[in-house]
Amino acid sequence: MFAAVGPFLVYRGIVSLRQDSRFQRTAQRAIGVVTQIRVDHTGETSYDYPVVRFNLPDGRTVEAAATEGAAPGRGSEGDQVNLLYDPENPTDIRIAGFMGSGHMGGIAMIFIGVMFVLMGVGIGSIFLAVG
Amino acid sequence: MKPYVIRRPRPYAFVPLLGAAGIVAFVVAFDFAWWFAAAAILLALSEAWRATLVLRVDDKGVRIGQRPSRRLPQPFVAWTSIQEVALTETDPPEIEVRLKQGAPLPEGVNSAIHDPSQRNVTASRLRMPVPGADRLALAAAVERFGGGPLRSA
Repeated sequence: MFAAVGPFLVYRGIVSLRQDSRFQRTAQRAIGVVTQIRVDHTGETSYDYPVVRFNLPDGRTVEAAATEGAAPGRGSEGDQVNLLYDPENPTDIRIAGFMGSGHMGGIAMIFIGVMFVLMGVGIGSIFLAVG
Repeated sequence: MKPYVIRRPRPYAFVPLLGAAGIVAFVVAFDFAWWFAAAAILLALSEAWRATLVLRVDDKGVRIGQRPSRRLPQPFVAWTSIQEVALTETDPPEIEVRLKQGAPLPEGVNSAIHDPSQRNVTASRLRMPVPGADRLALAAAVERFGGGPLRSA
């Protein structure tokens, strides 16, 4: 099972890195104001997802929630934040200082995928040697 | 006046029931505690019932039965945030809940764009097809609970 899931995770990690790279190439910068902090409780841990309001050069105003969360206490309502947005889809934002602003998600997925593949190969080898 | 509610069986409403069936099979196969299966069935029935909701208009606001996502609940907008409710003339008709300028981003909605050339704010998760909607009954509920007419779009 590890050997089957591992390549899938590596693939997803590479896709994530490519999407993030495309976003970083085309993204525009803006300054926004945090209007809400949404808290997502997953098991015993919780993550903050700030909602940010900012203006586009054409005069429209966008309010969007960050797609990647961060540990609680990284920001509060009324804070000004630097952000990147996709000009083609301005509701797709990354907030500087939050997890979504870097490549960590994709790299972590590739790392875990490689570890799964190695574990699968290792466990398979043990079974072959014993059986 | 009763709320205006549309419910419809949807494929993803059966997913929780499949999960519960798996847990029941596990409990039967391994003679596990029966209350574990009972709790799973109750939870699955509750989730499946929730997933059948297409639209609810009541005295608190409008809930749109968008497909639930991992992080977002079904969108709900209180009347205090609603500029107007519109129903398109298309087949099937689509309902659109338009927000007031400056209204906070509602529960279950992750983005909205305000265009100053329009009076209201639109969000993709606040627009959804509602096949079989009774236009007259919906208009009556919007007028009764929201105090304004149902717009035609």
